[in-house]
Amino acid sequence: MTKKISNILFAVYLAVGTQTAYAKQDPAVIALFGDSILQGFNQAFPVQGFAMGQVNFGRPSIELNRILTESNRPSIVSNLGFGGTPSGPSSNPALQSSANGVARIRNDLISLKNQFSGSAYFVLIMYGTNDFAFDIPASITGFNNGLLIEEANNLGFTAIVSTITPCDTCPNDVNDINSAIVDEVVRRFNAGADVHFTNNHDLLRASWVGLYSDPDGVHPNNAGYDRIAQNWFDTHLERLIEPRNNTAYFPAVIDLLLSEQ
Amino acid sequence: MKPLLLFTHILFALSIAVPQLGHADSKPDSITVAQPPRALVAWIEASNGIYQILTSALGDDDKWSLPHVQLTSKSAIASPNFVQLNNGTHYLFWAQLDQENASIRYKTKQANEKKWRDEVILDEGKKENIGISVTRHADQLWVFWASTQNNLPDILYKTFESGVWSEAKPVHPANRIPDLKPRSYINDKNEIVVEWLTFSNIQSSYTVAKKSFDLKVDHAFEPDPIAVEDIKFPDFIPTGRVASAHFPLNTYQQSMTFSN
Repeated sequence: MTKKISNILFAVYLAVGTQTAYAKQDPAVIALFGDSILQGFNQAFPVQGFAMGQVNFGRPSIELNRILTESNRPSIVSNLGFGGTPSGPSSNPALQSSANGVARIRNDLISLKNQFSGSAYFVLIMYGTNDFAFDIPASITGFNNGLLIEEANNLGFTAIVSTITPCDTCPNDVNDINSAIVDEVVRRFNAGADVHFTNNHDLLRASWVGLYSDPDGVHPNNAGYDRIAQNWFDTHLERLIEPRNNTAYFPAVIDLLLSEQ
Repeated sequence: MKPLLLFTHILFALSIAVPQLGHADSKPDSITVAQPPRALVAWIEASNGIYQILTSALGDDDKWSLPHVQLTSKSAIASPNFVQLNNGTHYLFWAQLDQENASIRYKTKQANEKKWRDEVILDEGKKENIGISVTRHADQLWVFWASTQNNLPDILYKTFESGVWSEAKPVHPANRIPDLKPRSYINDKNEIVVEWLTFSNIQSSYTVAKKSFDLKVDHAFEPDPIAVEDIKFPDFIPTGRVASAHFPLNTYQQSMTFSN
């Protein structure tokens, strides 16, 4: 009897201790940092302005959060998309946007860290589709993405940079922009930056028209956003974020202990 | 007598009418000025994959001439600069943007010539073009431009003297930041100054950088005859289009860019 009570107490101690440790394991904190595309804008979600870090807001954030949760990787997915903004400052004073990526990333990521304690921090970057409207050539879009990587790393965030998605109505050449982004990611990686790369442009390109594009030809539709979210998970987040500890064996342990006499 | 009188009237009428036909626009190679205009402007218009550089001149009557097409291209073009020297020679500079190559080009027309000479490639093998600025001094031409090499734009320049172009040289040391949109002028110290936009990592925005080249001449400063700020640019330049202006009569502020 005494041994049985001891076993029960031990099992309870083990379960409570483990659950406590489980509760102390902070979620991964993931920021979506870009323009209206990372915000999740489309016909079904015509959001304007700044998403202000709202969690589970906008299709990319919601879908990524679902994928991570179902894979036992509960995370905070924060929407830092700002519609209509460029990747960095314009050299034309008449076209300046104070909400450009380079200008705001530091404060946005600091605010996020102050708000959520994370086991790891990631920033998913996709920026440059609006740059043509701000007189920013492709080479400087690449340069700006490099600055975003640098600032993210300075604040303890792993950067996952993507090519920009297809844009049927943009006057600039998306391929030139994406080449510049890739060149900069490679350069930064070779210099020791904590950066990974996803090619969401090529992922969507073949089926852009008819399957993944919203009617405006600029933003993905919900299927497109879902595809992007899955791609982030498949290419990097599944590997970079550890799933939570599996506590399923505890009932079996308790049964075993209780059965001993 | 009457038929002769009628014939004379006809001849007189033709002598008035024919010069008017010369003012029709889109007539290339027709600009010839007896004396330097107060200002020359150049801008680009594009339609259906065809790019054109158009120019206009501001006369003493304070009126802009009708636009003239000076260049037509199937490749994208940028940064037109239309310059007139004291001897009446015209230079037209521009950047041609082929798929993988941004080349700086120019062509010339002497004062007594009606046709432009063949275009010449001043620099090539780079990508992108973000501005050209031309300044003349005596028989020299100084041409500054921004092109992308090693993944980021830099400012380069060439000088032209006694019929010979120098090698392209960098204005600033090699760096890993964007340098673009050069603007050149002569200051009251008889230096050619080039200013350009350069990225400041500290401010995370663009600031103005500057470099001077001593012209090694010594003459007293005299104010420019054309007050650039008083020039009213033609309203037939499409709104929002960046155009360049050149002031042949000025020594110091010879050029600027503007948009309506």
